Amino acid sequence: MPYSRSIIREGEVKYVKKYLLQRLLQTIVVLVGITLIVFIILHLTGDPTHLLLPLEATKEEITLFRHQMGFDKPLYAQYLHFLKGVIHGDFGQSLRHGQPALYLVVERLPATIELTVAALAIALAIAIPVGILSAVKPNTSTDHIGMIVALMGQSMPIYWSGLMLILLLTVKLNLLPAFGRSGLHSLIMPAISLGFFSMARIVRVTRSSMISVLGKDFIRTAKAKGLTNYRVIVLHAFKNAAIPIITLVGMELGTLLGGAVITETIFAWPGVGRLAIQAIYNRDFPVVQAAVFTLAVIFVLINLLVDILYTYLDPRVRYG
Amino acid sequence: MSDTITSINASKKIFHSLWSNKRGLIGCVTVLAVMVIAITAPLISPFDPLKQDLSLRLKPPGCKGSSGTHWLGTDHLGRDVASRIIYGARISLIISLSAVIIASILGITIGLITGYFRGKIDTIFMRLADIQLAFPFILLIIAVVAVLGANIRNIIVVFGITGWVVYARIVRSEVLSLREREFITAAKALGGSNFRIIFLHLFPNVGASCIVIATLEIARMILMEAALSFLGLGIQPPTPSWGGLLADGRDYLFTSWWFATFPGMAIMLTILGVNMMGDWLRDFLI
Amino acid sequence: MHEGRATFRFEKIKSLGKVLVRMTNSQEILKVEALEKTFPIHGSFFSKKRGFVHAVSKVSFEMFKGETLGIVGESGCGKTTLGLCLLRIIEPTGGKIFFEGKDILFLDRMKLQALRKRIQIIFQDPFGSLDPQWSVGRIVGEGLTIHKIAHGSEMEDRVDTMLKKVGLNPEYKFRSPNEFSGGQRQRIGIARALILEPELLIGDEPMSALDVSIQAQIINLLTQLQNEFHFSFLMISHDLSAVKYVSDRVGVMYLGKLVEIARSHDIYHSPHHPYTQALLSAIPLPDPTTRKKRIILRGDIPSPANPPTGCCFHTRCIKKIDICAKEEPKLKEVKPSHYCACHIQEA
Repeated sequence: MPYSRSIIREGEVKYVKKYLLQRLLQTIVVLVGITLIVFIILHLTGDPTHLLLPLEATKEEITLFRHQMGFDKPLYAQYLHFLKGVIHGDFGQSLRHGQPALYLVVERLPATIELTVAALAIALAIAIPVGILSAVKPNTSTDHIGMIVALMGQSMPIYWSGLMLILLLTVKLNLLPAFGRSGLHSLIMPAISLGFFSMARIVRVTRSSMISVLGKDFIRTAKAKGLTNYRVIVLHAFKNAAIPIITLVGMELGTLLGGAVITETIFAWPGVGRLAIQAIYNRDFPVVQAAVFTLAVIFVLINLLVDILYTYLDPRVRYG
Repeated sequence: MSDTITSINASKKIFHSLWSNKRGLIGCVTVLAVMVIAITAPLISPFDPLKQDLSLRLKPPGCKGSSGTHWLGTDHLGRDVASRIIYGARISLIISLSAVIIASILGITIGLITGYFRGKIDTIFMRLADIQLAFPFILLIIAVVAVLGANIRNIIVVFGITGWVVYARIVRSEVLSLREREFITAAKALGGSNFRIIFLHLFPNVGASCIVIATLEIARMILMEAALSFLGLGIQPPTPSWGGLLADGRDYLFTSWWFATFPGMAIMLTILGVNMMGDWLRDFLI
Repeated sequence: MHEGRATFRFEKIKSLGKVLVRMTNSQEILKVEALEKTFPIHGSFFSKKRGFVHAVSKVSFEMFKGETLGIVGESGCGKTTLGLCLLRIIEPTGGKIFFEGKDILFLDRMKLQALRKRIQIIFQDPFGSLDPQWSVGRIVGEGLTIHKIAHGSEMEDRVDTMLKKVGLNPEYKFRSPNEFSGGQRQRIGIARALILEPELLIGDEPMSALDVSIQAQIINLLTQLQNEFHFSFLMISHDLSAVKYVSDRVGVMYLGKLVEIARSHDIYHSPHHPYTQALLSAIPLPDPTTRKKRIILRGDIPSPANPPTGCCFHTRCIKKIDICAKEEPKLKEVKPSHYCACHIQEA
């Protein structure tokens, strides 16, 4: 069935509202669950004091520390205190830098977002044309090359492709800077290496989705009506094929956020991921909690947005 | 007697399918090769992966050592890169296979039970799945391992326990449609218990999907383990692991390119093989 | 057209002089009293119920030992639900079921298990009713395994015997059901049900998914097996001609209610209920020269979630009178052993 109009009709508004309300409630439950998990991670081994203090700490220092951080209170009290803090955006002070943990995270957020968006843009810019081309000419050499590229992209771990890019473009050819964030030049390599993995998956889904849509009857009708190939493919077929692609993109954003952690480490990109890794090395757990929570929240919100977009795009969702 | 007939038929089918699907063949052969290498590591490894020789630090590929040629060069402590890669395969396979076994048993059971019984237990586990999927996975793993300590056992346990979701979701959705089929009603009419229906009727019919998922999960776990080791939060040196080798190689990227390139290639080729095998399996079984 | 061909073949069977002697005595094997099954409807985004589907609405009838009772009606009239209720695979929401005099609705687990050996079912879909991952032999023998009746070589022997009885080569027991045709799969299903030697066999549209020529074979097989095993047969179908030649008595269902039940001959030659009359008028005859008055029903079948008041059929009935919309007619005996639920008492 072609997805024709995306106008939400009157009678459907009630259903859509109910659905969105449900999703919102679901999101809140998930967010609370996230706080629980973030809290539990720190307390997995019981008393986190020994994780945060150096081994040589004296007994007095330990007791003082425990009292300061509130580790001597019962677990549920600690959780409630933590939850209260989260709602106010207070994750405590960074043990290393002395600044509020969340502040540090938010400071670095734009860098991570820049990287992730750039990676996604590159991935889409390559994946969608390649996927469409492969679908339009299935089982030809174009298709096979595209699929092999996709397969390789999926098999190349980010850390390796990042290193190889550095090897090639910085060491051998001295074209691009390898470290730090200093303008568009420095963005290219991290974005490519991060985007390559997602690109592979998007190519495959685009291809299979386009193939299944192109086989449908309404495409034959469009062609029979005499529309040019370009119009047929881009306007009619792709619009319909786009929906599974959008689902995938929503999921990929999560993967990208995770991959950003590694990419930022390799390229010394000053984002949230790198901060989180360093904080883990430094046992700076308030920062770790703040970073994990922030990234998780972003991811959940993205999912929610994708679902909302869905109800607008796909009339079938509105009927449940 | 009946079992041998069916197994001969099955292997014939597999052989024909592989022969016609060259990619699948390459994939299976690659995976088999990696497994053989991992198992026979002590036999085929040219050097001891832990043996340091500081006089041969950072020598390029092909250089001659005291007991043979270092075909892939040496690392910053004079150890043979090739041998370390071979032993690294062991780590990758042990971790990924063990974790996949744990995750699949957990995930399949949860999927079967929530799909068949539905109700409260279904809602609980699906919410749990949503919550878990909301995390950038890597970050979660990293944080947990950092807290618990980085050794093989912890890594396997964490990977295994957090990996249930993808199995559970797919098994559950298949069970939801299978349970309406008449052969399930027939089993009930014959007096079959829930246990029988779930494990003898439903499970064999979702098995094919599970095998495909497991294959792709093995790939994912090899990648994750390498990522952890790369960040220094996985297998600790001097035990050779592919990720750890990459991390070491990174420090010497500008001078000794081979150090980082070959372990990465090993990872890539292995994952490529597993992915190709997974694609073939998907076509063959479904 | 197809029905005409089937009719022709059944005629042929009869004319071959196969007189099937069935032991029919007047002992009751099944008694259903005011059986009811309603399903709640849930709206998609709401969790509160939006109404009920009355799949089976106060159905009452008896079945006698050794007889074949046919239940006919169009799709969605509740006959399949009725069959599954009798097996207690679906739990009825009202009424009583007595099997061999005992109430089977409130049994403990062990007694329910024991009941399963005595009432069995064959299904409509030959392709969905056999587990594709099991071998044929294992499928047929599953009942024996579950009830621990036999195992090992004794089970194999019984499976072999059963396969032979349904006309299949015992060698087939090693094969997967996917290798067989629809007709053969139905035979496997029959073997599976009868290996437990049940006293009542329910056939839920067992032939609807088969080719016409195969239908005749299967019907033949069932009749033959009934003679051998002496089970009572409740045949649910929408194929009127098939039911006619197999059943001793026939019941007609509409919108969850039993509107007429009588001996097979009486139903087909002197139907009382307007719905039955309309149904019968729709059966094509193989003789093009005969003319029949075709009764065409008005309107569409009402939704089972919102059944009409009074008589369930009055919205489409051409003979309706005032009282039909107000009061629900009860099953009354209009002739010996012929019951009809209608306010109009004409033939």
